[in-house]
Amino acid sequence: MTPWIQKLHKWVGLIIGLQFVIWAASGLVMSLLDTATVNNQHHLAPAAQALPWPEAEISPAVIVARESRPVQMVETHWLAAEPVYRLSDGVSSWLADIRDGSSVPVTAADVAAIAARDYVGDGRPASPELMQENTWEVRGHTGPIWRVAFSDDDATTLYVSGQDGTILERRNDTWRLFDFVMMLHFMDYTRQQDFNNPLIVMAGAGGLWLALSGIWLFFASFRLGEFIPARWRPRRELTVYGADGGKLRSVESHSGDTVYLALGRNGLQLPSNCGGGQSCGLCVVRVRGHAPPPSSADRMHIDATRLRSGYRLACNLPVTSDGQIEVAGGAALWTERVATVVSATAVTPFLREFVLAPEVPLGPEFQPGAYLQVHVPGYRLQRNDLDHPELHRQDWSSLSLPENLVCKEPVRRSYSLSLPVEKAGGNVTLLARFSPGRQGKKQQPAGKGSTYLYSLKPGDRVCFSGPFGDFAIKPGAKEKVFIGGGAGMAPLRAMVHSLLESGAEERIHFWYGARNMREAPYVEEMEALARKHANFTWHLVLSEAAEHGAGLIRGLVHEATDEGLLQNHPDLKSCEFYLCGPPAMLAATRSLLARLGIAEEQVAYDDFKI
Amino acid sequence: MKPAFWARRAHKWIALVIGVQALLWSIGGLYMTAMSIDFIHGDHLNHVAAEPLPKQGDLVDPAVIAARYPAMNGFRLKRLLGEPIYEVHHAGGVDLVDAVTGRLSGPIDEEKARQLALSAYQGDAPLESLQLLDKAPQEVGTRPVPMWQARFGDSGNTALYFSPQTGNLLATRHTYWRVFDFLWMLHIMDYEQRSDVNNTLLRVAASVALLFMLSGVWLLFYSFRRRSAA
Repeated sequence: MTPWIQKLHKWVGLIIGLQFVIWAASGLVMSLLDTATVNNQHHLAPAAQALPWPEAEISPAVIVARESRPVQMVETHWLAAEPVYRLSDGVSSWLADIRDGSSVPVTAADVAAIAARDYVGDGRPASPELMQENTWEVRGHTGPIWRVAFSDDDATTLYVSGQDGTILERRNDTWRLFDFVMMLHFMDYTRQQDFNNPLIVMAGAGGLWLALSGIWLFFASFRLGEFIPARWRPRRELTVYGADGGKLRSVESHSGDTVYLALGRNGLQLPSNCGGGQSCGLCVVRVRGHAPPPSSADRMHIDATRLRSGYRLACNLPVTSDGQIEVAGGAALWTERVATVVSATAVTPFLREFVLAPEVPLGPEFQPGAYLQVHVPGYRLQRNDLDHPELHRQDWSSLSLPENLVCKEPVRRSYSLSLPVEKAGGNVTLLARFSPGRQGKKQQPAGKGSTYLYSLKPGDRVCFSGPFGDFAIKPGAKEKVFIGGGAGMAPLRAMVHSLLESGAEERIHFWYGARNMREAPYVEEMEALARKHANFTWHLVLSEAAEHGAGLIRGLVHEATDEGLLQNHPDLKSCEFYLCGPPAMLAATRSLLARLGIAEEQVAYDDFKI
Repeated sequence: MKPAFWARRAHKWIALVIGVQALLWSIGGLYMTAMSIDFIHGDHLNHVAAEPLPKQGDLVDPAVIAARYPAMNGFRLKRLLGEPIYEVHHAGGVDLVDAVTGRLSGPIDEEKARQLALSAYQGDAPLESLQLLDKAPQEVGTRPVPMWQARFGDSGNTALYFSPQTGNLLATRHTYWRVFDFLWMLHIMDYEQRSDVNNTLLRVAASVALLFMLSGVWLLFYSFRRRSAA
């Protein structure tokens, strides 16, 4: 039912929508124009004292007897300052002399005097002109009419009857504007003030339909919940999956929102042409688990098979409880944000920290552990566009990069937040490893994302979407063990900062593996944190034998963690593990933890989807 | 969020504010345009006979009236219930003077009012009541009092109003007129006088209505695109 009403509502709206705007606009104008001004009250002289009627010399009865026309009425009348009889046969009127009953013409001089006496204002009257043809300014009147125009600001014009010298109309520019919009309001383009024309009756019928169907749609489209501010409604969590079944992220919404709105508020813009009105059918999602019965709008846009598998229009799907939603297109749907590069700092030869200032402030969903997708445009770069500081020149010159670095198609690359947003003053901080591609004989081009990032300078614009991922600090104050390597520093560093910043008191261990000191990022920062916070310990593990100064551990990070912490730990069951790093390191660490009997629920990791 | 979303949202929320009034406007607008204004005016219910004045016959000379009314501003010679009569305007008001006998014949008494009502009324219902009113009912609030009200027992509850001073028909009222007037009141949102189109309420409502209509037109741009690539 509702979809059909909606269809008819919009089609009728299309046909007479413009007239609707005109009705509202002209109604507004008529209401704004002061009625007294429209009626020219401000140029109307106060009514003169009624003069005593002079002794008439001829009886009206005599005149009536003389007249060839039937006379319905005789009355006393003043033509300018001259007393006359005014006779009427019901249709037209004429004047007779009170002395001898002879006919009295209305002369230009009479009209000038009548108009001048009726008018107040600073306009000067033009000489009266007898109208050749009656315009709409004197519609409804017949017979000869005199026109007297005044030279005031609002172009006052008085119309005087050529039959008996009465003032028929007092017009001015305000009236002309009023009359014009009234013509539009009445759809009365012949200007006869006829509002019973078939055109307006048809439009009015359409208007009534629009109003009635609009009321219906209003009740159909509003949920009671929408009148309650979102924060007073129960919170619900929607978990969003891609079509491949991969979990994208969880978004918070409130009971009573539609899924379309809940996702949109979290930057997941489902495709839609109609903006959530159930009329385009583009925002289809699949409800995992128990889907509500399909509405008529669902049935209109989605075939029965898909309805059975839980497909629904997101704009028609109220959030009632926590639920799971599958979204085709997944991550590509997330809103694009724009940011400006604030700084690009070479932390190590091939790890670079980028600070991006977003144009629109980031919401609380940007949590440590989340990653963004940087939108890499197509580019054509030269090798020397990849800038690097002098002290890393050797590292860079040992790479065999081609002269031209080309990316034809825009791509997206994921980078984790490497510092909590609030700690970075609202900025996004990323840590990007330069991926030189495969070196040696079977060359592979350098990484598209890192090539692009490494060419950026402060002030450049970057687009990204997100946040994504479900790698996050779990609530509760369990002892935490962070094990990472390579660019895995990024999310772990953000998590550590966030925990210590928020005053976490549980034990926090950070074991980080690098090949050598030169490639280990943020060492001093981590050491400083460890000095400052008694509950935080930092262990740098170096795999290359070349250097091992005091306090440095040699070997692979998972083994070092095992030896240094896990083997002697009294209660591994009450620890949480957070892992992030290159695939080999991650695999080795996870199997180590499994061997130690640590349940998978205790282990969170981010494999960078490699 | 896309513009389509905002357009839809704007249209929906403005509807919350102005929707009912928009419905009233459209109901009133349709009624007022679909009903012939002549019918609303009750032209089918009244007919005031307009006979010409007698061509012969000795009528009272105005000088006689002028002598009786020294402060006379003027007069009108017309027929009332078929009889020629002078309607004399003087500083004290309006008097009716029989143009044949010269006798004072006004103001209109109940018997004359009944005759006036019965001769003017074009329907086929009996006269139900006849009252001289000192306080004008709302439906003739702009007319001067006192006035004669003649009510007829037809389906439209027709009422004719006459001036006791001049005998003129002041107004014709019936159900369709009353509905029209009520809808007009709703249309211009002046619930007191039913005549002031410059009231603030209407101005605000019309402004919101304009936004409402514009948001609807804006929404039209998004409502006809089907599955084109988003």
